[in-house]
Amino acid sequence: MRASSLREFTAYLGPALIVSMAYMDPGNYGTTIQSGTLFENGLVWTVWLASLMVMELQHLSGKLGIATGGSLPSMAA
Amino acid sequence: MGALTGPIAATVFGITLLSSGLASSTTGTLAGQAIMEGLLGTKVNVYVRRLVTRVINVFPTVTAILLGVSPLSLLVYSQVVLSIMIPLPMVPLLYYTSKRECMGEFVNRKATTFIALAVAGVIIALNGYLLLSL
Repeated sequence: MRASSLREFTAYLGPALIVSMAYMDPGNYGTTIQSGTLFENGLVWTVWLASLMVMELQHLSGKLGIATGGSLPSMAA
Repeated sequence: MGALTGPIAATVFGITLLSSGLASSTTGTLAGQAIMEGLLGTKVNVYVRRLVTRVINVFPTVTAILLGVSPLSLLVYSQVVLSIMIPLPMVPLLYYTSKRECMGEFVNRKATTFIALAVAGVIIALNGYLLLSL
């Protein structure tokens, strides 16, 4: 890997980590454990469905940021 | 947990839960700050802004814990509230990304808008069902 592309990669790594960190909140653990104790593996399919739906929504939010340079609240204001 | 899978698993899970809590409160505060800055611009004093976002973040949970609500049910309730709130950013997101005046050449294709509308429809329908069945 070239030095400049490595630097580019690390520059993107920080924001990427913050975005993926936002996923791992205790609320997710809490609801997942709760659904596991109540329904065992019966609700695992929702992981697939929710991940697919969230990919679409995050794609849209990313595109909005790239196209306008602002965020959703700054668009609404 | 300790009795079921051994003390190491319990400790690892405790550390995981603690760090995920730290991570989510960091990102939550960052997101709150970004939302306030987006809505009000940078005209409000930065310390006032930080104070307000942190109070909004921390106050409700601290009150609930002090009232003696169990933390696990609090977690689940917070997710329920979150799921009810999710259409609020979702609908404007769809609206702005399918408007050519905002997006220019990045405007949504018809198929993208259709898929996103379907996703929004499913989520809003499920949340409506949840609200009605409560």
